[in-house]
Amino acid sequence: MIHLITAENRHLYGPQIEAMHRARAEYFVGGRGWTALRVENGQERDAYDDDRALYLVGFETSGEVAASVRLRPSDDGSVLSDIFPHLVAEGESRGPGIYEMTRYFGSRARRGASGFAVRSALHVATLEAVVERGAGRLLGFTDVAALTLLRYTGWRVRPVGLPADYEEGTAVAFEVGCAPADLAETRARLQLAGRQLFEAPAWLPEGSDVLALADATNVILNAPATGRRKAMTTVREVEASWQPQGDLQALIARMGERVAA
Amino acid sequence: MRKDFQDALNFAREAENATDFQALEARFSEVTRPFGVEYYAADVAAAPGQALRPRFLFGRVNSDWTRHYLRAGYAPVDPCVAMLFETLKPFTWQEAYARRPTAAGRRILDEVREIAGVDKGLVVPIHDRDGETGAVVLSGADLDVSPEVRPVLHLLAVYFNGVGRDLVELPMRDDDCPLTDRQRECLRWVMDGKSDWEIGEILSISEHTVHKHIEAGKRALDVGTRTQAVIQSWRRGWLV
Repeated sequence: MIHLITAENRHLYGPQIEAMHRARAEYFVGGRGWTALRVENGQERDAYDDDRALYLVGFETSGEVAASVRLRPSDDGSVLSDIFPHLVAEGESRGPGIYEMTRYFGSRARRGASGFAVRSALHVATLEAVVERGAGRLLGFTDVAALTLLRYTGWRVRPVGLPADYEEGTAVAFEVGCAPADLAETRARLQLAGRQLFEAPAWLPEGSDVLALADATNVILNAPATGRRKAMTTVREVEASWQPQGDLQALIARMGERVAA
Repeated sequence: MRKDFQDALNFAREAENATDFQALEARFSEVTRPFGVEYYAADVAAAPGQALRPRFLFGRVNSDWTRHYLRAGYAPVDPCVAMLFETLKPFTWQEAYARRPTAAGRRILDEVREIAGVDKGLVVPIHDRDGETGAVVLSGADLDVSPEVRPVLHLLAVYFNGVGRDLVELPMRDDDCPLTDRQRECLRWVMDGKSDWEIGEILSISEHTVHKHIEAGKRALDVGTRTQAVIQSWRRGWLV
């Protein structure tokens, strides 16, 4: 599952958020040479890393960041509208219902074939997040040379303006189709019918194992019957040793229903 | 916005709706003409782990020049080919030659003018996802390579190449698939991020056998890495 980190649930992701900002410094400043970005204590942050930023993060089992992207509503400003307005010729670059996608990256270990699974999940999760928020437009920008690669995301991508040179290359802004039909199309292309986005509830106490919660949710939502059967066995084992509180009977019963279904 | 620029942007926005290559090419030819493009070619130069093997994919070329270039074996000494591996930004023939002012480079420039009647060319490097390096080469006697126009040609070239390749490669049917079922299965799991060991567990075969299947698949597809094998198979719909 891809985790959605918001202002409301960020207390659950302390170390992971720092890891993400460090990974950003490594990838964008170290790797792409964007030396204009601000790095403090090895972490890259900018003015758009505020309470309205949404972070979508795919984690390795170890808890390391495998891939991530930042989404943010643009009505109060965005990178494109504030810094690169000349890149957007078709339609508006900011406004209600317009989201901006920035800081998309994958870890070194997840470039190439081994990164397909997490990146595909991230692409579906991105659309789940914006569709749920009723977005009418999703904008991003990249180097023209990378446009060829965007075509493999499973997204419907179109340029919204002509490219323009910047220090390190030639930038072009694009929009990603974000209507419910686009989400369905992307699911079909990437063969990911099930929900990919996990939003940990804000009421969870700090220190909760959100990675395990996400995995459990994935099993309950998306695993075929065989997977759920195995999960049930594990739950029964926990119940045998967890006394006197805790009543997992209800969970077992519900999972049993789904297995039978 | 200038009409020729607007037409170019529209081409890029609509390119993925194209369902046949001829229509895409016709439109590309139309939108590039105002910029002095007479000839255009999508080429592949090399795949990672493989020797330089220049191939023409599609486009409109001057066949006398193409024949001459191939017979003379110019690719390994062409300054443009060398520069392809050094930059992501489009460059002109003159710029490549200025970077490597060799006698062979000079000869190529003189001969293309004599034989094809063009002395201005723009090379747009294309670095595809599977690590392949290629180019779209645009040329014409009056090609506009001014700083305002170059990014526009860059955008056009990238879409023409990307969508064009998909359309040209699409007709391969399932029966043309050179992979065995086992090879396809293994590649599908590679695409899901599984290691050879994990795939072995899933398919109840040894890790060594998984590795053999994947290597055989790479050979069948004539690619150098498993990333390329996955991408090529996925694009053709063989990994469903």
